[in-house]
Amino acid sequence: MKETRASILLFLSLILFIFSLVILSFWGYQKFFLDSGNAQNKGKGVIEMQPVQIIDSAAIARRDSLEALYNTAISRLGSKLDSSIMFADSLRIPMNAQLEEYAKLKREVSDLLKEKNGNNDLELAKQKIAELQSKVRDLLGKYDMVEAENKRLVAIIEQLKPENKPPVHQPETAPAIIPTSFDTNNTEPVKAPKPPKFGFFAAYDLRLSAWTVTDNKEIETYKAFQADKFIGSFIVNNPNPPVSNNIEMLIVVTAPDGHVIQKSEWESGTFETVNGTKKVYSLKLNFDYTKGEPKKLLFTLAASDFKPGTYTMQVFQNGAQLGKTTRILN
Amino acid sequence: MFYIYLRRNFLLLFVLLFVSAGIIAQPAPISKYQKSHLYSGIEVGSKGVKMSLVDVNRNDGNADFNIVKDTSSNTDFISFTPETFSATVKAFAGLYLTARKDYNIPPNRIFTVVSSGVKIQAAKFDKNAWITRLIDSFRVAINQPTREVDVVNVQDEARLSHLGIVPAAKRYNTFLIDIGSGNTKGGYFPNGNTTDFKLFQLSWGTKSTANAAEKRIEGDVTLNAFNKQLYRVLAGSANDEIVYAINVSGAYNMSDNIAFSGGIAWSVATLISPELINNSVVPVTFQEVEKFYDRIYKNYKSLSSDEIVKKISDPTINKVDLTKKINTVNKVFDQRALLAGTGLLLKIMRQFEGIYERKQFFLVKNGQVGWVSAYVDKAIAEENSNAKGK
Repeated sequence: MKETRASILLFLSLILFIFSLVILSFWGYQKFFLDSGNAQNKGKGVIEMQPVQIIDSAAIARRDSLEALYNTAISRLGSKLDSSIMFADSLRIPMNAQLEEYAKLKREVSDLLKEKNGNNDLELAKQKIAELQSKVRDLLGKYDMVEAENKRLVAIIEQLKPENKPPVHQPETAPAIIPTSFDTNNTEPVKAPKPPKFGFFAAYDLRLSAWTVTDNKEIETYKAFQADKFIGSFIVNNPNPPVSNNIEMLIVVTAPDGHVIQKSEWESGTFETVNGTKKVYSLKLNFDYTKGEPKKLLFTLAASDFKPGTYTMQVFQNGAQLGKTTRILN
Repeated sequence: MFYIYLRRNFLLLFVLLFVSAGIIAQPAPISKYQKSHLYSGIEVGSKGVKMSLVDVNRNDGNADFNIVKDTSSNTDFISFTPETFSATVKAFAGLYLTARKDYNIPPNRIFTVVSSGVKIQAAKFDKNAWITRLIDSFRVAINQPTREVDVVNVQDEARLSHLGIVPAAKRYNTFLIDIGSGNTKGGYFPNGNTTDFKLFQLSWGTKSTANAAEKRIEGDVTLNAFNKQLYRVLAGSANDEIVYAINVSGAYNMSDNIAFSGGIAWSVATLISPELINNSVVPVTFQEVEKFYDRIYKNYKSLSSDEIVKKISDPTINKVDLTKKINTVNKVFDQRALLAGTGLLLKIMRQFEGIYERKQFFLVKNGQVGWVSAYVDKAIAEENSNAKGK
């Protein structure tokens, strides 16, 4: 029993000894190496006494953050501005006035940030930056509008080119055609019209545009995240319509991931194409038709989530494709 | 000391991990909608007690429905024996408590009804008191003495189904026909309001049509013989009743859309348009269903899940889910039952196929929750009016 106690005590004292050794060596290391290092630095005069300047670190942080805000606001506009103004003659006068205001504000904020006079200037700079941010937002909104308008005009110009002209101007005696594509977005060449099949319509001037609805106003958009719905339209014509006056066209709008956007479960369905394959249609359009009269058909198609990519619109009649167009959303 | 502290912390960490895993593992149904609310409908029917859990998405005053769960317990209440009675009470209360506790649905979002089938059978055998006793026993079992349990009649059931299934935009020009196993019922709203409902009833259903065809077969049990006899059943007494009932209903002149619900509508919709597997409604034409009938008879193999899934090209369709759904249909309806049901469906559709005026046909897959949807609509309207009152 006594031996056991003695060995425990011996063991404890040994541990305490080792522990004290560790502490001593740590202290020795601190004392010798670190202090001597400082002394060396002192000797070389690396650290020299400078006249003390009282620096308000909070103010510096604020200035830095304001500078960051300022830079972000400026960079948001980037090169977009120049290109949009180039194409927007009608918007030039109001845009110029706004741009002057923007440049003036930009100079003022820049001067304020350069001056290091204190908190009052920073407060003023903060206000000015907020104003600058709102101006940038306005200009970006205008830029989007200009860009959308520009794209629409380019699309119209493309459509008006002689090679893309729809067959509406063909003489009555010319056979009705089944166009394969009047694509406004892609650059694929338009295939030569095929000879007509009795009862089939010619569909042309196919358009598919995305729209955003804000404050009860509908604005055309090219941005997927802004889009609320598609508006599609096309013109149909047939000099030899079928006996029945009531004609049915099926519209297929395919999303970039390959799925067909459905108007609703009660308005979408499936049909068989002339090739025997089954296809889902987005919606059906029924209309009365008088022989030989071009008729414009319109539809809207809402979706909860538009993804960026190419959307395809196809028009079918009795399983045959009459026309196709695409729309790219960024 | 440090070791003990460390060990305690590790223990605490493990306990926390297990608790959080336990919370995550609760049977929370997968919601299709972002702003969803779960509702439940429990119905005592002729065969047993059925519970449907419906996920409702409220959107600008409209409500979209998605069936989350559909479960039933066959208790055969209409036998009216003490054993089936207690089994029904147990199932009724059990499903109610499942909705309350497992799915955390508040009592005001659980609807409990006794179906018209039970009411008719009880009246027929003078067992109305059994229904009252069933409701009282159910209230005691769930400890809710004021619990509302509606005993619906055929008219109410058809009306509620119409209100729950057909969207408001198509309400007054759609004739809804529910093809059941033993009979067919439905109707429409003729006067542009939801109180006047024109009821339509037939004594023919999928099972009764198949049974009638089977009965006529003498010795020859081939599919050919069944098909021949089925044709005779549908061309004979069934046809007379169908033509008469549809003429009397006046639905031809009053409806643009003819929607079919019930088991056969669900199975035909699933097999005819697998591309629309996620839709609860499938529009069809008479010709499509006619072609489908030929396919059941001549090429039944093409209706297997393997054959159907093989032809699906849409990359967004979940093929595993589709396979499961097709297999369920094929398990519930065999070739003969499909022929009988589709034959009856065609017979009714034929009455609406005019040369000059064509009706739009729809097959509704989730007809069984029609009445639940109507109750949900009513509850939402009440909640909204209460909110406005406050």
